[in-house]
Amino acid sequence: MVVLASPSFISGHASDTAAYVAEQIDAPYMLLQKSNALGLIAKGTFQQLEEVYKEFSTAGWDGEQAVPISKGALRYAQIFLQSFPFGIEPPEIGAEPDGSITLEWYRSSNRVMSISINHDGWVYYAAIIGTSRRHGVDFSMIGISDDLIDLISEITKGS
Amino acid sequence: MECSVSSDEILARYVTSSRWFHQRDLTVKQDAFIPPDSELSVTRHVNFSDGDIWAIGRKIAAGASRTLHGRADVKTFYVINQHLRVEASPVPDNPNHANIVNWPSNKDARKMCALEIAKASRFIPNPDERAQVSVVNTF
Repeated sequence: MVVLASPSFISGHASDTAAYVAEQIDAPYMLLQKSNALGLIAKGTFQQLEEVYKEFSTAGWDGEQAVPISKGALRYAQIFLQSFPFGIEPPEIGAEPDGSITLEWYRSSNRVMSISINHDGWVYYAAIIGTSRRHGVDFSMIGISDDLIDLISEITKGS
Repeated sequence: MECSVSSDEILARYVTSSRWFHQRDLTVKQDAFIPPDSELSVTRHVNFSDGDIWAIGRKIAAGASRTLHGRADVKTFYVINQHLRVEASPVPDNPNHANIVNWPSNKDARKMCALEIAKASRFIPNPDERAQVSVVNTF
């Protein structure tokens, strides 16, 4: 699988020329980013997200005390998914009883990674890769981190 | 603290969404084991017949107009192995109701516990739902 890394976006340019150069450097990446988002749309990922929102947006949706998925969680999940670089396999979309939206990459119970996005835009992840265990926190507005891209690649590689 | 439920008891977590299990190998996702707040509802198998366990699940699903797709069975041992506790908490409709408590405060650590519990659990499809699907497929 090929994963293209994002160029580092330049902020606070010293001159108009620097800003122009930065735009030109970023333009191909932005184009790829857009085409990847279109790829996820084509694969039904954003459609799944909408379906999950509809299915789980009432209180007690699990028959017990489940918290409804909020519009905020939906929006942050959309923003987060739009930041995925070209080549990342689309995840399965789901929901947790605490009102978070989940993205999952699964090969077996020994090769799985789950990401939760909550109504405040926080991203929580946990992964099992053989005997190794990883978990941590990120923020959706920053976009997907290199660390998470590596973890997803580790789960989905060779398959 | 001592666990009020024996470590070799089986606990059932009802699966009321098709998004809570993997269709291709019928394994349960961690999503099913994330608590809504500080505790997660489960049903103990002890002194219940298989029919009793399904009857409770059907009632829970019907209460929220959901489909009961199945249940995730897991031995208490695997739950307490995550430094969680299982406390018996009978309710009028379910004398075997229990709560999984003592969840870590960090969500990512909760997810790690839920992944381990899901890994140790076994998905049992709802026999009634399977029967309904067979009937539909006959026509």
